[in-house]
Amino acid sequence: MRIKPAVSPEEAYRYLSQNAVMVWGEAAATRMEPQLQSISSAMAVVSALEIPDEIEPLFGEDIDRAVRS
Amino acid sequence: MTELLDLSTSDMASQIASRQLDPVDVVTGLLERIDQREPRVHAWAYVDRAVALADAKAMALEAQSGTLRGPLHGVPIGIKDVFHARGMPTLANSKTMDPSAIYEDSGVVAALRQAGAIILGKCETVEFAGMGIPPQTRNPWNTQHTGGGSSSGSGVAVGGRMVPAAIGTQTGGSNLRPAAYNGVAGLKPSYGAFARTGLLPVSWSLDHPGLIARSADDLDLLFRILGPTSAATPESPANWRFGILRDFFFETSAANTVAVVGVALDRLGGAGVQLADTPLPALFSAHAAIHHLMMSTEMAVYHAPRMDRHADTMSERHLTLAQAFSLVPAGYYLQALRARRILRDAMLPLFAEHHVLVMPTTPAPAPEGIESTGNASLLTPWSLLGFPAATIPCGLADNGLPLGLQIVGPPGRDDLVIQAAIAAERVLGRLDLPA
Repeated sequence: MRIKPAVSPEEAYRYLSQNAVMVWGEAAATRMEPQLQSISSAMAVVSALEIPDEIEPLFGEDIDRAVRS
Repeated sequence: MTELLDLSTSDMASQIASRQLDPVDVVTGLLERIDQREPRVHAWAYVDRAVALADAKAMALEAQSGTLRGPLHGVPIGIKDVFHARGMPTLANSKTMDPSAIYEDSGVVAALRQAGAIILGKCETVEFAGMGIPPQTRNPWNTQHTGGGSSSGSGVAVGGRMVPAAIGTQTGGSNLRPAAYNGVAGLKPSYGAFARTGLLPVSWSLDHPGLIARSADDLDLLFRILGPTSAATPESPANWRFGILRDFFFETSAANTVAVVGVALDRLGGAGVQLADTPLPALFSAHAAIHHLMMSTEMAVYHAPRMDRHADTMSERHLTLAQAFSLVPAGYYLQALRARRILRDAMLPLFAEHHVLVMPTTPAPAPEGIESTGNASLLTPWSLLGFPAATIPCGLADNGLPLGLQIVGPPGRDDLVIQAAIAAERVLGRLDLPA
């Protein structure tokens, strides 16, 4: 799934629901619809953010070390 | 009996140390309380009566001879049932867990035992401390309402006067929410402050072991045992500068919550605390989305083997969540991690003018029913950012249920948050817990 240009919640939901059917089957995909809605909304928000190129992802304790240093 | 049940962790520890109180009487009294209240509130997943009494007898003899194992000598503590403890099952409110499995102590439990604590038992939790099946736990203030979650039993055991302190966890709002809903104090320390070894994870990057206790002084005592460093010298209360986060935190709270917290802040202002409104950066509005993508992805990865091996015994609710969460694209998980970093950078300047930030702990008191464990929206930002946050009770809502004042500090300054909570509690007082 692309990140830029930013995706809409609807685009993200289509992508997730198609994958849900492929990975978990029709019945499970129907059951997980509310979760897919909330994930797609979150994807749209994060996709729209402008993050400077030099920002690396930090995992676990790394983030505290980075802030305190 | 009533006097024993009302003791804070700190007072209980000091009375045992000075031989005014016998650990056997303490454990016996708390077990009687559990017998009396447990059928109505369901706070405990497992209580180890025989071992607790045996430990108490040994510690009573040691105390009589002047030997104390540590600052919690003979003090019973409850543990959320997602931490391993020697001799006890870890079930996490899930049928996928093996009740006969044998575990060593988790890091938190080992540190508590070393300090002399008696591990009284395991407290009920929402399934895997996430968003799965809630336990049958009920609020001692009104059993028609939830005790909160996911550290449901930890909050209710302390609020129900069954134990002076308990250990919980928080990935979103799971530690401070039950503390606030049950009218007691709580601390979610800085990320990484307490050991996570022997803890079943929800999300490695967001999980925080936390404290629920009778008073803010208890948070100080317990943090000194479990935290990385000793708390610093308290600031003079008159010099406190509290920043009030009206954006989002007050805006999304119920009118009655805003009123109760507002009265508490007025009282703090009247006692000399300097209060000023503080705006949030625009990027803050993305916090819930960032948290959601991180938590979802990590939870799905951790539970992938369990989904494969135990899908038949896993609750459908948890299975559905884990299946859906496994679909978050990797790029979005990494983008969420990057976004968290810039959000932290944007939030740190809020502490330039203020020692701590204050806001309601929850938008409303504990909701009716036990299907939902309540709203975590005011707590999730600090779990995402890893900033230390405490709650102390600040009054009762119109329906008679407790509300909390949340106090947040910069990362690594747990001492500041705890001392601010102590200062605020001295002004606001503690709530009388239900009989």
